[in-house]
Amino acid sequence: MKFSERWRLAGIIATEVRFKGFLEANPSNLARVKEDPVGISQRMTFSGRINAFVSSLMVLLLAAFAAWASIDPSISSPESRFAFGYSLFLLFSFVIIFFFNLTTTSGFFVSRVMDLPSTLPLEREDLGRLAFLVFARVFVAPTVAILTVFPVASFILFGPAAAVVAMIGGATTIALAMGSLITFSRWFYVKTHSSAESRLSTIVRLAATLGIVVGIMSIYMVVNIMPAVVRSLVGVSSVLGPGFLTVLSAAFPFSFGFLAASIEFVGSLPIGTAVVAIAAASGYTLLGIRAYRMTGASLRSIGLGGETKGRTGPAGAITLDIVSPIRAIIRKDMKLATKNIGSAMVFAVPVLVALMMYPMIAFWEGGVRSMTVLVALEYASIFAGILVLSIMMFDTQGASIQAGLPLSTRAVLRAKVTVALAVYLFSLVLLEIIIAAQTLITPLLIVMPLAQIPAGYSIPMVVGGIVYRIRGAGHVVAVNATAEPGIAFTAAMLGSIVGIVPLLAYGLTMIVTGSHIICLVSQGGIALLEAGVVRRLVPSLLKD
Amino acid sequence: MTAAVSVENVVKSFGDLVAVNGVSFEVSPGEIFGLLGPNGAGKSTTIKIIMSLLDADSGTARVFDVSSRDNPMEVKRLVGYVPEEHQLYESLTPRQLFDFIASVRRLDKEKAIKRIKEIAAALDFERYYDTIIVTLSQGNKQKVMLIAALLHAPKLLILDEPFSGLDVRTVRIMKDIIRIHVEHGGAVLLSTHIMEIAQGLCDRVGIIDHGVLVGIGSLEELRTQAHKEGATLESVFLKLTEQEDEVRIGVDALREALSE
Repeated sequence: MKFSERWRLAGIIATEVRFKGFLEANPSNLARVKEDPVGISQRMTFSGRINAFVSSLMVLLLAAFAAWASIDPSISSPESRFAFGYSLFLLFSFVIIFFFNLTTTSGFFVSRVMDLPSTLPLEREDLGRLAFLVFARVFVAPTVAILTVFPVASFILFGPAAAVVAMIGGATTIALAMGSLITFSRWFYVKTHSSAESRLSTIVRLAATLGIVVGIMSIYMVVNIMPAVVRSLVGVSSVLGPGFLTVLSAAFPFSFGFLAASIEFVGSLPIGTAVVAIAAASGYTLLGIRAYRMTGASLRSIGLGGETKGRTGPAGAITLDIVSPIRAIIRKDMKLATKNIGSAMVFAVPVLVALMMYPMIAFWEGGVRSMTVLVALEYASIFAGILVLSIMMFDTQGASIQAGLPLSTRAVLRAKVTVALAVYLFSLVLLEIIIAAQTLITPLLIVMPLAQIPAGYSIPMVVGGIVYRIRGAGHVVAVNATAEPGIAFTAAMLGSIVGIVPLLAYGLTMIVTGSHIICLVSQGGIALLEAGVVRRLVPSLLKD
Repeated sequence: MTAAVSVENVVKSFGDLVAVNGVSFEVSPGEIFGLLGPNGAGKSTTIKIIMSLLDADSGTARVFDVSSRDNPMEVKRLVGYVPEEHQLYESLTPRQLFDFIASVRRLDKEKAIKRIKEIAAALDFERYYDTIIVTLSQGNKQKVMLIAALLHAPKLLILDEPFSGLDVRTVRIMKDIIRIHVEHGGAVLLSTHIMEIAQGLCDRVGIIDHGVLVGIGSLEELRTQAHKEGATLESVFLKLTEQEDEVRIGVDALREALSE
């Protein structure tokens, strides 16, 4: 089969991989695909393009910041800043390839996309090559960006030798990232589709999900301050001495950075560092080639039926663990949440709130004031609104089971509110820790998140009740926070409105009395009153 | 005696499409009633109205005299329902799923375990009890649905296309389960496309076409209605749904296409 023909076929299959990955990432798409197949297909294509655009843009920004850090004259030791700028570009390229494509790659495992081609009159070798091309097409945008943007920038700024090292380093990084990604995706898939259920495996899955969110957020946060990071690394190196550079040059991807610096600044780096960098970079390049070859073999085995996903052991005795209906819903939701990257994002919300709020709280001019905490709590309310939607997403699975069960809408909402409250409380705990670590104008500020706790009940009740009302005519309905920006916006608005009421009470009381204690009483009192009103009114919106 | 299912003049529209148009029928305790009809005839819509999953525009549906519209929770307590689609919690195991169902239904633990053991043994399902549902075959997913529906020993079984994807052994067991359920005074309302099964299993059938009930009764009564003495249910069905000519034209066209 000609390459062009294989490339075209791989494009068709890659679309299917993206489609399945899209469904796997967000269970509510599974139900929606039936009622609006064209819409979901368009959203999937749009999402794929956006993903490619964003990852390419990230590479572009990364290259720009890395290049800037490499030539920033305000950073001493030109050879070190050059080496670190180079290395950080490769390090974050690895992260981009890995995290941005994790859900898509997991689609390759669930989609069984090679089943149909394997029934067609194709040679076994052609099938293997096709499987590899399918995978390569999924990565094409960031791969092309990494292999062109930084080498071109290096060529313009430093010359051909630096560009060649950038090209080899980039290719090695991509190969190693793809190899790691396949290994991790396979592990995650086996873990999430395995019958073996233990507390440890649940914790591992949750940790992996949190790692994904933190990984993505770390790129956004660190890219902007890359010159500062390079400056810190140069500072640490000057304190620890040349031995530190030699040790570092043995580690991936710093070996490529120090190799490029050794060529660009001949004689500036210790000879030992240069030798170690050359040896290590050669080793990593060979490892990259090996990873590339193993990637092909691994994919071929999956594509041609080498992957099993059946039961892992003999079935245990038939027993039942019966609990109350509300606990049963929560237990079921928790099990579903920890088996899906998209759904498990729920648990990452507190981390996101903390990551977003930390710079504002830590760098608030003149120390933390009540206004700082009020703003942080209002942000937490907006997130809580969206959080409820994420929890409501679970209901797209199991529609056949729910249809026959005497499960009241109120009971379902109560279970969702319980989960949302727990996650919201965790967000408050993280905010509390961040606030407590700062200089406060009064220690009473620490009490403000505690006075806001009742909002953790009011926000999900209002958002859940109103969404059930407007989308399901009062019945339980599943929604998709990512595919339905309108509903997500409504939920965020409702969250912010419900959450701001006690905060306004605090602010207005402060204007009138100037006493933090009275303000806290006012905030807590209004929050409790609001929860009471919500508890009374929201159930009237629901229908069984 | 109170009817297990009572549907009276039910009308349901989706925009301009009248999916169910004045359908009325009853299912008595101890009876197997088959709802037959071409794709899109309105069978599943009718069943969903009985199950309170859809509200009728007009007319009433009752289960053991409990209104589907007014008391959906009680209807779901009385019925064991197997829907046409298999949208299960695919990342759970049957064990986790049955834990959930038994908890929501507040079942007695010992009785429920005994029941699952017996049904799972009959369906040869014990070995899949800890297997993640997504990896099960269509037939085994159907067994999961069936066990879930039977778990609370319901008086009425409503089965929407219950035989699709099942192997010969399981079809036989399924038919026996339905018969045993009825022998013990239960009632069954099922929809199916398989005429042979409907003919051999159902006491009475109702044939829906374009949302209208075009025939109802025992096979003998339907034969009389279709003026087809001694005909099979398939033949009667095609006559009553006016599809005989369509089928003939389609087969002729296919014969020509396949002979090239």
